[in-house]
Amino acid sequence: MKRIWFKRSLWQSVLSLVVLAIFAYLATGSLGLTQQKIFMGAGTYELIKIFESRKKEVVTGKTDEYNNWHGQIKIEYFGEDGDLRSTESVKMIHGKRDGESTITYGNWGEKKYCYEMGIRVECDKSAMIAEKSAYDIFNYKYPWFTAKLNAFDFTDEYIRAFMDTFEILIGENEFDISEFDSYYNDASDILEETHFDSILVLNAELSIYNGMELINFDEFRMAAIDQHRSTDSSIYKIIKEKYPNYLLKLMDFEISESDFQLFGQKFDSLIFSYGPLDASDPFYVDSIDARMFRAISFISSEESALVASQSLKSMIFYHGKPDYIRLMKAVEPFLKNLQSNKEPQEVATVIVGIILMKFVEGDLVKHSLYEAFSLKKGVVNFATVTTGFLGSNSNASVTLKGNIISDGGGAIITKGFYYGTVYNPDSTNFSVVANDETVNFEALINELSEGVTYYARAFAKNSAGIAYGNCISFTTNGLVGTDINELSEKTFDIFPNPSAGSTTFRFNLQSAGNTEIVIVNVKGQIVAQKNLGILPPGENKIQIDLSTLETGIYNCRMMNNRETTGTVKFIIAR
Amino acid sequence: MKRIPFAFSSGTSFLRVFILSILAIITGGIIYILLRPSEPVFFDWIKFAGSENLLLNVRHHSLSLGQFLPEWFIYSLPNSLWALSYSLIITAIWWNSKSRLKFFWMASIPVLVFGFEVFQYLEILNGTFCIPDIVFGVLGILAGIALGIKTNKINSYEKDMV
Repeated sequence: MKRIWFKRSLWQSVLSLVVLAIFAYLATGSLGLTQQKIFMGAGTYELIKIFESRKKEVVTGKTDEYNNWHGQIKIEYFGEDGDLRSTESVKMIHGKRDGESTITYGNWGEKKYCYEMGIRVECDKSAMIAEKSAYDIFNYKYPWFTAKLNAFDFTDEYIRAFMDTFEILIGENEFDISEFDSYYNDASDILEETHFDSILVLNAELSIYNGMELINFDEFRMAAIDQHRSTDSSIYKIIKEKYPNYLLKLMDFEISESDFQLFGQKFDSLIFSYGPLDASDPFYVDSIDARMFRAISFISSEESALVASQSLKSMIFYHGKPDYIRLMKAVEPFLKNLQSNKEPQEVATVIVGIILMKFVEGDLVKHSLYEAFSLKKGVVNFATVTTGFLGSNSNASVTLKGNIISDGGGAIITKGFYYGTVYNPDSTNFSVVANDETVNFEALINELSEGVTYYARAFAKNSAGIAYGNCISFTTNGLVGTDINELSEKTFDIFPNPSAGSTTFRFNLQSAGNTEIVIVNVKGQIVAQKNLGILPPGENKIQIDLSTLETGIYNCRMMNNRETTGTVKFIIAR
Repeated sequence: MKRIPFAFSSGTSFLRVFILSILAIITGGIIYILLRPSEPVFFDWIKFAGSENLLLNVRHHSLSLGQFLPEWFIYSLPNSLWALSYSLIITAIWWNSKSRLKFFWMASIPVLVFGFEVFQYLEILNGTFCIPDIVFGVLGILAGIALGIKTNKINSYEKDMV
């Protein structure tokens, strides 16, 4: 009898084990999140990136209207036991490090680095650095990345050995710089078979995350976000008016403006079919991203494009283990096989392809190796330059500043600024040449229209070609030059001031909510009041016609959820 | 001869438990795949099966439907259905058993269902810990155990009829 009981219990246990295994497999299959974003309130987010072996990076701070980190940002690195390895505290302007960055290491002190619009500079603004090996370049240019690798158990010595080996493997061959990618991949394959495989895997993961941040600067994505904020515009209209360079970029892939217009109609109708989004939702921009990729995926019905866009989408939405190597292998043939037909699906394929390229740009190890290789070969690279806003001189004049961080190994032929009313202006827009002999240069821009938002980029030309700095925007204003980069320090701004009629109100909201503008005269009487409805957190810009107000001095109050969030004095003068 | 209780000694009750469990798993899976914007790891299984394009096209339409459904339906119900399925099978197998192993296996139900949530809370596993998941997990377990006990009773009745 006992034997029968035992036998029965055994079979029941075996059956239960099989069931348990199936359900455990199902449960683990339902997991897949590698990145979590949490809204902390008051416009602040926490982004948790989880890596292999439960190591993680936690970024805390505020974001701008395109989801770029903006303001004082804290980046913490945790080891696999959850121990805090290091913390970086840095100011970011639209996703780029700017100013002093302090990296505090758990037990042994801190290091300070300086950046100018995402580019490492010496804190005392000394001359350009003389870089040598790939490791030297990597370590100098991206100390935050080295700190990240350190936090994840890779010592400086190990990173140096890895970079030196990588450089030797590539340098063993004689080839033209245009073939660099192929030799880089070969060397990477060899290193995969060595003890450096773990740092390669981590670099692949980190490159994906870097790529994700670079995608924020994709002009099509920015246009898609602008489209949601201005309810009556088509994607084609926004691209044409604000991002015309994107149309030129598409032409490199034989996509004409009319092709894009046709694609745009399909895209608009799909976006419209998804229904309205709640602008007060803290994940408003994330939802726009999701919808944008959903619409592109749907239009690109060609199998190759569909697969590529889905690979991308999985990574963008952080719901799958980033498979950098698979993606990199997919990008190259994918772009090479682009056909020159003019169907919307082909346009969608190209748009996805352009986005995918950001992942290649995210590989900083590759960048450093490329730079070192080209230096050794005597190949001149593009210069590195940054753009800044110095101040406004009148209603129609501003002064811009540029800084050449690196000449790329060649003499600078000319430098200056491109500016215009479009994002990322270039030689097709207005230009002003700077005659300074130094790497820091300035230029006065006159005859600007009052109250108009302009975009500007510094440029520096050497024998490799024209290098552009970061794109800044400013609005001409008689009293104060308003640099968009400085807005994080202010919460409320009005321009032009004095104003004659149409006035722009720009403000940072800590949290989403019902927003109201109240204008009060010197007697304390409310002379104008406008309810702007529910607005999202972050930067907002509204234009209001104040031509009905009499000349004089007024106080403007910004109310968010019935609480005053800012007050500005302004003048109406005609 | 003394009758030894065993849930699946009857083909009818085995089929009943099996069908109920599979239905719960499939329903939960469908909600997961078609209504959640995220792509869990088991998407790779579908890709491996070569049905990726079909899935993508279906998801394109089904995801829009998701915005009309309450959050608990999309995010908590699938796990609850899987909890129901697991507790139903385990209860059906062990409820009438007199072996001490019964307690071990019955204990495995909350351990499996809530273990993932606890690990998520402790940030050992990736994912989001949330109270509705716990509540729906409890409901799923209770429903599964109740159905499992009921199946056992029917089973005993069927056996008594022999």
